[in-house]
Amino acid sequence: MNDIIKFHCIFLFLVLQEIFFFQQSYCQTDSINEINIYSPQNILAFADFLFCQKDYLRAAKEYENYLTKNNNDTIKFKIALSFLNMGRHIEAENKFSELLNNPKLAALSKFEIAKSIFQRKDFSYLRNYYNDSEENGIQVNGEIKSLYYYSLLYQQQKLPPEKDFINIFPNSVQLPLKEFYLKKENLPNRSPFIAGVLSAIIPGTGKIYTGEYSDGITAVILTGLLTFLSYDNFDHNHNFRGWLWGGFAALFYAGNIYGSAASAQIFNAKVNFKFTAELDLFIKKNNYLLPEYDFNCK
Amino acid sequence: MISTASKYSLFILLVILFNKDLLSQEYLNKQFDLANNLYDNKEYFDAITEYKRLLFFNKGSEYLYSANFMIGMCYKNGAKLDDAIKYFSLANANSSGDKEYYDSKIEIIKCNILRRTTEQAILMIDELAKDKKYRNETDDLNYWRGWAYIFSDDWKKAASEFNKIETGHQLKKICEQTAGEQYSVEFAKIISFLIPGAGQVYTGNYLSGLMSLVWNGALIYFSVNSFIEDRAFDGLITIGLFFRFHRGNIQNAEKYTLAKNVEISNKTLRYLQKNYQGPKP
Repeated sequence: MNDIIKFHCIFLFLVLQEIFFFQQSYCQTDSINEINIYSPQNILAFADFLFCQKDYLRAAKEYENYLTKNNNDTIKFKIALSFLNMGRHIEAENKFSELLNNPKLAALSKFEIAKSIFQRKDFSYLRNYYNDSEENGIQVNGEIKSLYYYSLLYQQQKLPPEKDFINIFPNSVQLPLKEFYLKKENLPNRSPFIAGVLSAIIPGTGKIYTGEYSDGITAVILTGLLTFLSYDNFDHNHNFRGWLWGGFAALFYAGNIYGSAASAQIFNAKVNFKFTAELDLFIKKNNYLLPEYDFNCK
Repeated sequence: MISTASKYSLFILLVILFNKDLLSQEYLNKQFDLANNLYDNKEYFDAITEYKRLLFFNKGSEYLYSANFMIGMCYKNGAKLDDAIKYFSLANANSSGDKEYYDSKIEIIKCNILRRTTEQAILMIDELAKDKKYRNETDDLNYWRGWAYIFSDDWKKAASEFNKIETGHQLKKICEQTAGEQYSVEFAKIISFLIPGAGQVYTGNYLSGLMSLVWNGALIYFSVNSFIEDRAFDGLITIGLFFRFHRGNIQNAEKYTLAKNVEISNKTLRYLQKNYQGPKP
């Protein structure tokens, strides 16, 4: 009998305990369902997760959702950064501009605007942005200046003297930038005019000048051969064949001059493309000469 | 001996325990339903957000397969096939049971078919076919192998795969018809070799064919004429030019035939996309 009472007591205890936890759990579930998933804190946590996953469009949307409940300039900065990372530069620049009155974020926003202008390769606008900031007495941080000077490497204009150029940048990147500077100063470009003139004097030499050796040798042989055939046929009173081969020779000769000039342009485009790709890689690798943000992305 | 009252107590305890577990999952179920509704309404961007939210807040493993699978479906419907494959692979890695494993694998295969990495698709189908667990799925695997061949433009092999399922399979007939409509690249090259321009005419490019015939004919004429007039050097150069033009004519015939075959294939694919009612990748 005592055993049965003991059993019931234990059972009653267990049932009460379960009822207690059940109610607690139910309330918790309800609160999670109604509040937790869509609470500002959780929206922010989810947005941060998406941002770290590089799902920037969704992250920006969640951050904007969070802003409807809490005004926060850091979140606005993250939205702008999301747009910048998506390559939506103009929207990013507009959003960064809204933060220029925040003393804590103004300098970073200014730099991010410069970065955005740099990324869309609008170098003349970047120059104006840099000059305006300097003229208006706005404190231009060193990073914007570095970025502006770095952009000069992409352009056709003359670079400042080597020492002046290199000293703008932090010590850690001065050595590779010196290499870039020297490379830019000595880019092995070919003149389309010289290539054309060379081919006009001796067919094929313009192509050889641009590194197209096999094309150049073929052009010399073919133009020479066709000219000889034309001459020889005229010499033996085969006028039709003389004109035919002469026509071919003239066509090859003119084509070769045009081809040599085009080849020089292609050569230059290849050299510039390779150099620009190296510059892009370097600046991305060095985070646009700015320290990395700490957003706690694991 | 346990009394009747004790039995009731035990029953109540079990009911409470069961309900507690169910209710603790309710908000996750609601979240999953919300995401599914968005998917059903073809709002794939928002559906992905909600599935991702579910995965973010779900600390357990119960939605790892289904949510990842559905994200994959959203990306697939949005034609973002690389992303779709990434999430189907995640679903596959979290699958519990043969069916989930098979379903996610088939979706990866379909994405590979759609992005035309058909060799990879066929490799994966062959792997599944070798697995004894999926012996009953032979027809299904042959079906997707057929589609892989369709997307790799091998209509004859595709017809053969559909034939394995059923001799009168609708897709088999369509594939055979398309294969029959296609031009033979080898035939075009051979006739262009024998009669310059014939390959182009065979594919309906009459002007190009005529131009080839005239150029090659003229060069042969000049070459022969030069030899007759004892101008062997002229003749040799002209015959060299003829060989260059003749080779170009064969290459041209091949190019036109391939282009025409792509046109025919695309026409069938468009027909299948609009009119075929069966499962499609």
